[in-house]
Amino acid sequence: MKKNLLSQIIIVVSFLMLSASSYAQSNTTQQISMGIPEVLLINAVDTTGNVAAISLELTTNVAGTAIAGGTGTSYAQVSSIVASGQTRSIQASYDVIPAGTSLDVTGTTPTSSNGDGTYGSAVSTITLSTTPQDIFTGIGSCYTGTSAKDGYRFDWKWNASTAGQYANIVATTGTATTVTLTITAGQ
Amino acid sequence: MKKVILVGLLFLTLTPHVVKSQNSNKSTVTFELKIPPIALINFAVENQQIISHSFAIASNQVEQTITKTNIDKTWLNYSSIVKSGSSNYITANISSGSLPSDVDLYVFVSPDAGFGAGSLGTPVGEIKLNYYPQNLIINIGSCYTGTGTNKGCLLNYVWDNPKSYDYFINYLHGKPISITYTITAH
Repeated sequence: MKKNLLSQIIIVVSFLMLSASSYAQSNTTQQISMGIPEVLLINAVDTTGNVAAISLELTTNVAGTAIAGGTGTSYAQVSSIVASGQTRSIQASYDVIPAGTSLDVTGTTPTSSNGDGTYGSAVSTITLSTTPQDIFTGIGSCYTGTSAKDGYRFDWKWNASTAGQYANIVATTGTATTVTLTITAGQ
Repeated sequence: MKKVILVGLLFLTLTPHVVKSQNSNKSTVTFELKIPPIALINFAVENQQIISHSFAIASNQVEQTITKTNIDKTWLNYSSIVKSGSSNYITANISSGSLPSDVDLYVFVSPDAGFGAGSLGTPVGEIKLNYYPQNLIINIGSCYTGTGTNKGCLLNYVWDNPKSYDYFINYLHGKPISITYTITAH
């Protein structure tokens, strides 16, 4: 019974607090706290907009030539809201790639009309390693869209290493490799 | 009790949401990386080919009809990708025509000219050609020689006692001497 009474009192007080200002005066101001959280979301997809493995192959059919031809494309769909004066980067690194080979990537900022904002710019072609490196810099608040071919474009080029490592190459029926894309905190 | 819940909901509605940053800032691209085994061989021939000719039998096999006078300089271009722990090798054999019993034909293979990369193998030097394949370059790993003349390994033929062998008559009678080079996986 006491609890019931207490509940009723709380309700009444709450309504009184909410409506007090309305009764007190005819004009008033209401402070609205409008918060936009920092957002940094990234999603890697293939050219069809799906999450799927990209298959690359190095081979040749001309005697005397080096293996080549491991090219492919993927996209990173991003939403970014930065704090005032800050920008972000998109970085990439791999876990491991087959011996004697190298993996390059060339970035292109979004061109689709499905997004908007400050996309930043692409760094020139980067030879990836296990250490994250900037592929795009100067990214502000933006979104890229989520359809196929929306987003930051990554053109991958897997090739025989140019650093005298060719003898270390061995045939492989399919080595799974993961490249991690990271959108950095605002700086 | 219902009223207590109602009061709780009221306060939740009126309380501003806590502003939080989202942290799904990583995504991964998965690759499937393939390198098939490769064994490719071809000739590159200097000067005009007046009598001899070369052609590919298969991607790992080429045949050359040679002249008595060795006027052409032939280079072997090859590409190789091996499986782990494996190697390729190149053999040579007489695949067409026959030599008189007192005539021998040798081929000398020079070291790689150095325009490619990788594990190019070890040339055995000179071998006396026969009708069965014999190793000419062994322990070839993953490598490429470059394409064209002056790339790869130079072949030189040496005739022993050629006086008893009239090449031109044999050639005219459809009995040229041809040598086949094959690159194979061990």
